[in-house]
Amino acid sequence: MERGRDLFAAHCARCHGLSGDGGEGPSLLGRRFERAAERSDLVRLVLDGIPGTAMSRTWVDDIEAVDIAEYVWSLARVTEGPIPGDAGAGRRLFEGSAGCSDCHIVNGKGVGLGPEMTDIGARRGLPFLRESILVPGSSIPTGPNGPHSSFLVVSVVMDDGTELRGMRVAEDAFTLNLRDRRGRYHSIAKSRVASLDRETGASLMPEYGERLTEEQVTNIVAYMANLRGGR
Amino acid sequence: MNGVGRTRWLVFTSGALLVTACSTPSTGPRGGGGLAPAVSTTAVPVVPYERLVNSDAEPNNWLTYSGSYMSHRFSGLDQINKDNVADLAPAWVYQVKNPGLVETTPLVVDGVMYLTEPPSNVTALDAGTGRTLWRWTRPMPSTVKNIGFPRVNRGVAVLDDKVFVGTLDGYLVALDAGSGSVRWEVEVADNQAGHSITMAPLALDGKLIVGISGGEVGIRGFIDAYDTDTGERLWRTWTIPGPGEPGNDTWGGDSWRTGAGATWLTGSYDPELNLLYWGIGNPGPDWNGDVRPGDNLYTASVMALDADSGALRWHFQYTPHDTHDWDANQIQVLVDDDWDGEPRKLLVTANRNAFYYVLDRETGEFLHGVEYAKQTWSEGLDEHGRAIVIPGTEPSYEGTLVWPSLQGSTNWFSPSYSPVTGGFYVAVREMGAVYFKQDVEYERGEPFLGGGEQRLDGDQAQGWVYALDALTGERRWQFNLLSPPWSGVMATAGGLVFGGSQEGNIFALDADSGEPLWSFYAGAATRTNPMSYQHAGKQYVVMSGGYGVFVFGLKD
Repeated sequence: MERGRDLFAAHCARCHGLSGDGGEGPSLLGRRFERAAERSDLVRLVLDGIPGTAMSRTWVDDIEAVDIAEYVWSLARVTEGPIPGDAGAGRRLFEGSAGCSDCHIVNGKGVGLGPEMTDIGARRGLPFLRESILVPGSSIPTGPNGPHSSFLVVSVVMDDGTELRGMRVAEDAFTLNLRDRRGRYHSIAKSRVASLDRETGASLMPEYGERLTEEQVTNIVAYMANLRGGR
Repeated sequence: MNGVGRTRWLVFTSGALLVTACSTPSTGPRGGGGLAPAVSTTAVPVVPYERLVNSDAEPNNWLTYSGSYMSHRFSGLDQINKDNVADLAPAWVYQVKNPGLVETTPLVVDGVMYLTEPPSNVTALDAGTGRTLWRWTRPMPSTVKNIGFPRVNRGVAVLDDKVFVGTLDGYLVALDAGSGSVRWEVEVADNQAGHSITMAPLALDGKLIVGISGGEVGIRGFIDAYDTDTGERLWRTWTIPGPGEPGNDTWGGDSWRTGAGATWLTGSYDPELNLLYWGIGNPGPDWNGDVRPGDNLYTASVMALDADSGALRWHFQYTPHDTHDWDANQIQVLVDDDWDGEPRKLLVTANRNAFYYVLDRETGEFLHGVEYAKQTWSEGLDEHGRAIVIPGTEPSYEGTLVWPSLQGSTNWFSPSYSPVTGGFYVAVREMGAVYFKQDVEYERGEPFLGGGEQRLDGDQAQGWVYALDALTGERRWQFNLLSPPWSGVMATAGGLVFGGSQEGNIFALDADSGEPLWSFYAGAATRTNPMSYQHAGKQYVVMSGGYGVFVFGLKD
């Protein structure tokens, strides 16, 4: 178990948190694993990664993978500490005065501009959720094995002076597709672009640290952490 | 009567009427509005060796994988050029019948297109209409091993009245060019030990040259020659020297036995010198060099072989004791030009290790080398062309960040050389990776890797088309792609460079400036090399995207 813990710290903690409580990746504490009914399934996930997600294969050998799986399996028996905050109050804020639903869909309700939040609590850990509210730009995935971020903010000035700013939804060598704050899609011919600024670290979402009290942030995080998909 | 004589009278006919016994193409009256001719007739192609040697004389056809023995991947056609390429549009599209990666370069001979489909099938199409003439399907059960690469095929070879294909299960098959029936087949090497063929073979005078995949399985690599009439093996040259042979002492202990050195991409040929130039793959295991101390000849090298005997005339090793899987299988390009004021036979290549090399192809002498893409593993090349390695850049248990990634600055997809501009055009992957080392033991037919990589991809990586001066390696221009590509390029006498992107663009650039002049959105990643041919007076450019083989021509 000691070896598994060390290997976990080296290979897994960057996304799943040093104590397995999650981060950019999901918390592994007290969970029924969606993709692993048995320990041997975990070994495969460690060795192969999960295609279509940010989880790449882990460069360990078979024996090390078993050690990691043992440790992660033990985490499932760790009772997750109570999530601090008032999730009910968080929900009222989320859907009301904080305006989160103006951009995010939860269980079919809201506006689909930012990422859907229906199962965000199953995919992200508490510290990451808090950070994404306070400094949204820091939470846009950048890899190492992620796809080109579809929430990257791009500012464009066209050769006739027209200015556009929005989230990148598609880009290739000839064409850039942006979605602006009002939800409109723009298809841009790169040959007509005078300047193009990829605003790494920026987000169209406001930074809520200045708009909400500490208690309000904690309550919204509590609400989001309880969003595990389904109903 | 020999087979060639017989097949002359087999005729493919497309159109409303059936015409028999006509060995020359005929064109029926053209209807208005760009309608196809009523009848277009095509004899079964016959390709004697002399046509392959003189392939430059018939730019209407594309007779070998790289377009010529010199591997220029250059089209001498100029009907499509800088002035009109903006009007290029799809003429027809062929969809492969099995889902899979399409990495084939079609050949076109006298109105017939031969292409391969994943995993190892061959299809003959009417080059004017895209309609299927015949199809040969090889069953490929899931027990067939392809370790270290996908279930792909990159194309066929043609000679006389036959079409040749290497198969994923390690066989070489000769098909009748008129029907697709098997003339002979021979096992090149045991697939269950990890041997496989994805490359297009190279046809010489009565001989078929083929290499082998398996560099991630600890095979002992080789290059083979087979009699094109019988399938009998004429010679085999091992890429890893055995005990008592020169170079065996570059392998510690018995490590040569599992030294890999796969030969998985088509080589080049100089008929005057009668020398074959073949790029050799990585040593095994890929990323753990501790178990194979020494330079590990002839991995990550080019071998120059006598085509008659397979004897090694000279070699040059690009990456001694490679630990990053930077095999040297990239296309070896033959250039005839002045060097220091004297005409010289040159061999140039953009290596996976981020350096561009110019060698004398008669002697193997290193003439020049320069960094053409980002790299962090070497301080440069010494006077003999050997890289001065920066300590601490090999893979480690904790991970070591190095540029380029293990896919290299470029990979199997072809570069192109234009004798018109003197430019060497190459699609480049600017990407770093964290390299890991693992302990590993050899087991027959199992992955023999000793580590791996975590790529820095997404917005941390980029793709490019670079135009290099073929003699100096200096960059003339660059064209930015979003992601590192898996597609090659083709320059043309029309002053264009065609290419494709991971995002699904098929495009044409100005060969002199790199300015984009035309693009088409194929809707899925392109993973192949462009080629071009002319049929019934019209030039076509071919490039695959997704499951589609797109054939472009100027609007009528």
